[in-house]
Amino acid sequence: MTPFPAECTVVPPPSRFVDTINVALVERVDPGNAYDATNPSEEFVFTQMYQGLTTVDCTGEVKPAVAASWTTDTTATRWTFELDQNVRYWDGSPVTASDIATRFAAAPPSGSIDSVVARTVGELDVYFQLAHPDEPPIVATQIVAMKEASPFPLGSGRLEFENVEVDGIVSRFAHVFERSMPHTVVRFIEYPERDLRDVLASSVDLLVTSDPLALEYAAQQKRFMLRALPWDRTYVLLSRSRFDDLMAGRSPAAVEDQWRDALARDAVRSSARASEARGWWQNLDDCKLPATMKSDMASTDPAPTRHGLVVYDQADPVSRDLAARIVALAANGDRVDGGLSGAIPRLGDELVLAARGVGASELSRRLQAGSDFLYIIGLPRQAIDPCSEATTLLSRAPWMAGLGDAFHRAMLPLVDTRRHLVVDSLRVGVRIDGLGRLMMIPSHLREGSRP
Amino acid sequence: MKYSARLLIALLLAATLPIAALAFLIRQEMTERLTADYVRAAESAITQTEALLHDQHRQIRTSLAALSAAIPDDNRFRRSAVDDRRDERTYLLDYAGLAMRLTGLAMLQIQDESGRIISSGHFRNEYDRIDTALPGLLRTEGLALARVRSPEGPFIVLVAADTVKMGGRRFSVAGGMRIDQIIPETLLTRKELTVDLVTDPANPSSGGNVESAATRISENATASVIEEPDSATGEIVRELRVPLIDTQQGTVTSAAFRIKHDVSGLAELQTEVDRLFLIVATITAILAALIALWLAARMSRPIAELADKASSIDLDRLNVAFKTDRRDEIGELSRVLRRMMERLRTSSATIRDAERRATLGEIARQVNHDIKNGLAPIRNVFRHLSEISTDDPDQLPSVFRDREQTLTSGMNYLEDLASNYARLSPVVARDRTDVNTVIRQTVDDFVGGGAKSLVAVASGAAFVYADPLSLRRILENLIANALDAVKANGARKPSVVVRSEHAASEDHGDVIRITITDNGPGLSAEEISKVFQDFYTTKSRGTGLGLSIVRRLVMDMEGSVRVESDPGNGARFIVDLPQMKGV
Repeated sequence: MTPFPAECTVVPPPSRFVDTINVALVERVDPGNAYDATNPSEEFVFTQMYQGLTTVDCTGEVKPAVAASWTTDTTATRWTFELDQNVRYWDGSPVTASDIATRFAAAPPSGSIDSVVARTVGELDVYFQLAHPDEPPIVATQIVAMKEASPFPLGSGRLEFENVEVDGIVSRFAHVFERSMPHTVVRFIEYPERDLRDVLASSVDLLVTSDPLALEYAAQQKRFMLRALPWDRTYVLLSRSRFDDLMAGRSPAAVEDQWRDALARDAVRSSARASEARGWWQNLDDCKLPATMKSDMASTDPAPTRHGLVVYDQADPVSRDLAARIVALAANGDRVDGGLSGAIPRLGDELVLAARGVGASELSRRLQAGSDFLYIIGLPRQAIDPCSEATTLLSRAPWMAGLGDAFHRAMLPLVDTRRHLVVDSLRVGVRIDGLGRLMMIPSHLREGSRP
Repeated sequence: MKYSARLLIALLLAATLPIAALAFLIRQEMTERLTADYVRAAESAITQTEALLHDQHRQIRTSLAALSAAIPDDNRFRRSAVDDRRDERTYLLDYAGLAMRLTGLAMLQIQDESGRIISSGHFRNEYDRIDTALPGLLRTEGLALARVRSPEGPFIVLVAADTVKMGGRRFSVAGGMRIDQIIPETLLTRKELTVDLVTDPANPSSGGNVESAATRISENATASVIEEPDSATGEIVRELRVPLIDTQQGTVTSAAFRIKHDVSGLAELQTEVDRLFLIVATITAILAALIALWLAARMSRPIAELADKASSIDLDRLNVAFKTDRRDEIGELSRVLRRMMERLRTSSATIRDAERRATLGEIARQVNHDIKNGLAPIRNVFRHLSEISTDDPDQLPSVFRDREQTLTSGMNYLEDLASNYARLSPVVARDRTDVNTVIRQTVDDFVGGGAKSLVAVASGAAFVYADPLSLRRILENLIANALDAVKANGARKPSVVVRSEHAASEDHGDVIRITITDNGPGLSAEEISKVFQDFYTTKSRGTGLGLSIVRRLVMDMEGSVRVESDPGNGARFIVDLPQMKGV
């Protein structure tokens, strides 16, 4: 394994061997989502268990993982990966090109290579035919080696699944080549809807959270080390009236940075900052986004009324805080809104706003219909494939597709947020890659060494 | 109108009018009592509301006082609110939320002197909004409601305020409890009671803006209970008005807790009472009708029967029985009629005697006439013989022989005439008489005289109290008439049947019925009506006294005689004679 730069180490591994590491998960983990994680806890667990063809370090350098090397032709549409013959599943069987192709055909990862085919060339070679030139080595981080098994698919990652217990998942760091070596057991314990301070008060060694109360509590515990993770999420305001103005050829104003600073500082109780001006949504020149999107819901033009809703995911506290602040400001006109009324048409027209927290499925339904006044949603701050992310966003809010590549003008980035790593530095080390994914480093696996 | 109809109407009115009056009075009393009960319940709810709101208001004030005392001791609050330290701003913004949860309030808002919200528990991100209305309007200790905002929308609280002085600055603390959480469900002890919080009660046309149908009660010291007239729906309505502060509009209006007592239960009860009384009245009316019909039957039927009997009375029928055991008015009437019958019989005898006397005069004239008629040819013969004996004595024997037949005929006529007149004054000697024996003897005499077509049919013993000779004369008359009738009917084989039998007569009870049936030409209706009158005859040589004598003889035996006939098919004379009892 190619060594990762030292700056990618968030917490150095402990100096002495630790037999058990307890990791707190704040969401449920479903093995059925192994190929496509649906929440941060699943992403964390699966990142430890499964490897992609490539990986990317925190500096952005693409590095081999399951694939030892890769080549392309002159058109940059056919990429051939040569698998590392030393990569093995947990049961010792080799990862084959056929496994990769079969897995890809069964469930291709979302992204710009979804229009291509994967074929095996030989035992260790697999190639991907792209529809247009791209950079699959980065995308290939999403092409994961796994083989069907129950309850978790077999993987080639460092952490080998062992069994499932009542309160969580037991795994251990795998030693495929030297199984007799002592190994560290990792217990993933699920604590959904629990006060994380209670969780930290138990024998938890690692927790990733943005809960300010939990972080404040952890900061007062000597055994924990807190590390801020990269800004990984941007909360945006989708405005139907702004979209309508843009479609009508008008140019609504932008909100002031100063106002967004205040929003991040006072309104949001998580670690937040004013959203950076540029994001992946402004880098869509080659995407050729469709002008219309299919929708499961009949898009309805909102009827002008004196009442408007700010709809958000009720399970997301940042969205809730932002919605509440916008509702509070809407009643104050231009006194403290930082140009909000100019950025959101009709907001100053004696419109009575109210916040409405809804479940994920209800939010999806309402976003599809586009009949509410405002929506607040969170987007990934970084995108491996901006075009793919844009397509996903437009499929969620198809009414925005009318603006084409400029759909982002209908949305107002508000704040960026990030999570924090709470870790017992004497028991486990942590490394971060270029996609913001965290990898645990046990005591006996020093950076740059191989098992 | 018939007596039964009058009786029916009278009984119906007598039975149903008191029930209707009772129903009306009960309904009236029930309505008054229930309405008073509803009013008491609504007013009790208002009273309880007042007490509860005062209690809740005291609790809010106590909580705010404790909070106002604690805030100056909180250095983090002081650093942010007074010293304006930015690093403690989040603490300040979250302060009201934490304090609100600790105090159990639903609304808590801390504002500085300018009215700027520095911390809000119910709407954390409403910080920095200027709201001068609430603290300014809550300087008095009176209770009030406030319409405050949350991210999800406005809600109404019972609100109070306090102040905090810190670092030379003055902060106001306003807190409140949601109206719909203040009043326990048990306050409204009846499901018919509802409470609406009306935020525009002064507008009667709109009926006010009903904020929440489930909202429960409140009041303040300055509030007043208003007894509104019952609404058009008839509901019992009582109102409790309190001031309402709208923090967003900065205005003070009025709100009212409108307590309504549904009266549909009363209406249902009234309907049920009406229904029950209707059922009772219907049943009573049916019973009254049945009783009326029974009474009418019991009273009018004997009267009708008496009327029928009375209508059948005439001089030829004076033996109608008015027997009764009743001691009521009907019985009295029957006895009056019976006495009247007795007087009629007496009068009838007198009339019959007068009639007889009149008839004797007539008969005397007839006898005179008849004898003269009978003597005229005899006189002529004797005058002729006298003239012959004078003028030509030798011719006397031959002339005598010539006129002898005339003499014989004239004397026979006189002899017959004498026999008939002798029958007009019979000697009555009534005794136990065997009807069948008399019939047999009479028929035998006729048969012996050549009447081959005569047949007698008798059944069982038949005894009557009569004069056998009179009975024989009756039979001889009727049989002779029948034989004469069948002789006139030449085309048909003549037949006269005399039959005796036991029968029951309406007028005479058990009778011996003698029928003389012939197959002669019969009688017309007019003939039937005159056949028993004196001197009425259809025969060329009849005296017209036969059937008249028969009628009188039968009546003397306290019997009756009548004739039935189908013209062209013969006639039947029916004689009913009272059967002699004990035989």
